[in-house]
Amino acid sequence: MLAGVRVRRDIWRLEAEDPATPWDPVSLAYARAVGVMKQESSSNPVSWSWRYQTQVHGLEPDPHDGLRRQCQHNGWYFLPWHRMYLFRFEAIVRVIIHGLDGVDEDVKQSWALPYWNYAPTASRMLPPAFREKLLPDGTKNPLRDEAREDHVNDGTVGLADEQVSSDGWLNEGFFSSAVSATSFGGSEGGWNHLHEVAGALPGALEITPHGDVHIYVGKDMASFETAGNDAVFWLHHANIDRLWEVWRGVRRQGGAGMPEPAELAWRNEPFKFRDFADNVAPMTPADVLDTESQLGYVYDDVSPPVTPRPPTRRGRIVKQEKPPGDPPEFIPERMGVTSESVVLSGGSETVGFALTQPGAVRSRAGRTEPARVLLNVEHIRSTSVPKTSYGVYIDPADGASDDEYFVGSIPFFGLREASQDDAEHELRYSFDVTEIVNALRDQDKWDANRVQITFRPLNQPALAATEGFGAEVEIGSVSIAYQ
Amino acid sequence: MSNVAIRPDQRGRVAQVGGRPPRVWETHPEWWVLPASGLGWLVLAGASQTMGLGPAAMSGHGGAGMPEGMLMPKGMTMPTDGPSAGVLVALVSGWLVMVVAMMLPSAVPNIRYVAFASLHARRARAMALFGVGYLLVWLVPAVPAALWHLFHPLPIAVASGLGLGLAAVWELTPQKRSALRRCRRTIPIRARGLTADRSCLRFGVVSGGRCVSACGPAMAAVVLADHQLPVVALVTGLMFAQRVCRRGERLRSPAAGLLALAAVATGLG
Repeated sequence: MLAGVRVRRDIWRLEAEDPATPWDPVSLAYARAVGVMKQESSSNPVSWSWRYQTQVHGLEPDPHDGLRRQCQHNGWYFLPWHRMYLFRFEAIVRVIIHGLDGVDEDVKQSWALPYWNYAPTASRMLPPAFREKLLPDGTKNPLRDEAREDHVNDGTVGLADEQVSSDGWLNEGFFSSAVSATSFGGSEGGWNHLHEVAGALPGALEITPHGDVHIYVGKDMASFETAGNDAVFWLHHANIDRLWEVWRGVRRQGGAGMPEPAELAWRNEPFKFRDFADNVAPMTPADVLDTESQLGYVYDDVSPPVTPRPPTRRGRIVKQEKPPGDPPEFIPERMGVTSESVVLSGGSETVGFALTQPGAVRSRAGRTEPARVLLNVEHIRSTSVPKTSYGVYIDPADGASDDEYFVGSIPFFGLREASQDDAEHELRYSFDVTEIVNALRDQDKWDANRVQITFRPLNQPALAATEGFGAEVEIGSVSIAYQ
Repeated sequence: MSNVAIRPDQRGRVAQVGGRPPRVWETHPEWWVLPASGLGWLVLAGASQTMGLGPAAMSGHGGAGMPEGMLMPKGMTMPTDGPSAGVLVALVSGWLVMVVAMMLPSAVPNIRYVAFASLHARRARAMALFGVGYLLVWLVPAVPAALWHLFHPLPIAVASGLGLGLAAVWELTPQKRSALRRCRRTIPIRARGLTADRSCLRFGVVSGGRCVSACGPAMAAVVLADHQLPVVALVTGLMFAQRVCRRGERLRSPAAGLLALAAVATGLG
């Protein structure tokens, strides 16, 4: 490791070092720095303002200053933009911590943003330091946000297996896709804050666990405009940033090259941020590809997470390693779509629709067989965001409801923004269900002429016993496409 | 199920018949719009030379009651008891040619969406239905446009300056920004039968309506400017860029500036 490089560490492991208290020196220093930022002192640089940092992520209406309302979602800039955002934020917090009295000198020198690793079952609740009402000195804890779901702040409901599953992102073979299909990091396209890019799709990591954790914590975290206001946002995104490192480590095994896009449109896209002294300097994705040499930090653990597989997939679907290489170039061909919308209101909803015979399409389009089968969930809208993600399941052709296959979750992060009357596009997700179709086919449970999909809220028993599921959500179309 | 077998060794690749790369109409089925628009431009350019389109029409304005403009032949005169069916057909046809030339290219992203949201066998039909719905909506403003050309209540220089000036102001309003954003919004396209046809037609109507609300004032300015080709070209370029370019809504201010300049230029002219 290069000299002076800082190590981002798992907050649950930091806090476990002294079980007698929820506070460890790194978390406590972070809490005190957040307290300084939330004071909103006019004598400090603008970038030290907590409100300003929240607005960098989202703000309505657009101030058109090129610095706020900039968060990138549903596309290939999602990961590099948030890496830049965290890098600038972390530097500001470090400067503030340097000026704090009573902070250990070692902590001042080595402080790095911790991350929240929610993969282990024991870490599925919000870290204790973020739930405490008071700091050790009896003052209000700046890390506690009252605008969270109650079951999160009181620690009664944790994240479900499906909400932290690595099944989707870890096995994804390509960073991005040019043809509106699933990928690791999101679809290719331009600057995409509020679904400006037609056909834009989130990458597998952006869906789960990223979106799921936003919706699990809820309220502030469930909206672009307020997500940064919750101090745990930064630890959540540090973990997402870490999982990018995990994925690229897996993809680079065996001497493979960089898995990120080589396109200049991705590498050289500039994004502007204020630094700790309010200087504005653009950064590009190419500037943030190597965290150690370019940004001066590493993670203490970049081994692939061992997450329990969702029960409906466990032991039934054979994972098949996807070789590195270019993503499929063909635009997915739609094989069938629902004939009407489906409304989710807390219970299970099942929709079925006919599939066209693919033979004619294949030959006409010059192909013989599909490389991937995609399940698309599109035109999602609601007046507000539900309290939990919904699981998507493919039902077997024999109709046995206890034999369904978990596809992925639809977390609804950004749903409120995408449902506004003048939003450019509604929320949409796409899942690679090739393995599931293969598994069903092997068991003679795949009907080539018809498919049935079920939606069910995750954490159903726990939430039903406490607060319910919140808003109704309308899904305009569900479709199957071959690529 | 044999024809949907997905072999593990095909992951990440696309099997092809004889290694044939995809045809351009398979990857860009929406590109028919561009030659259609080009044809429209040829008609417009030709009409400006041979018919009463643009500045050529100005000589007729306020004169012997000849309602020129759009694609009205120079020799055509309006009967004293009102416009004939032929005149109205000529005006409306001219309007539609203008919409195809100027506005249909802006709808390319939506046409592409309709194409790929439909089953392969229905692709051409889906795009055609979208086009019908889109153009139907644009027929509504054809009525006031035709009336304007028939009666020309204001001198062209005044009307032109006024229209382009108002279009410039509209560019700066939050309503324009919202309308522009809505232009890109899609609706579900269904797979089969009348439900599918209705969804394509409806999307065309919805897109046309959003397009009218976003670009209507600029199109009105074109009418008031008597279809002078430089104004037509300017408005087409601006509207196309706003709809298709990355972060097109940020082009509203430059668009307002250029429209204001055009207002001054044509008003003085």
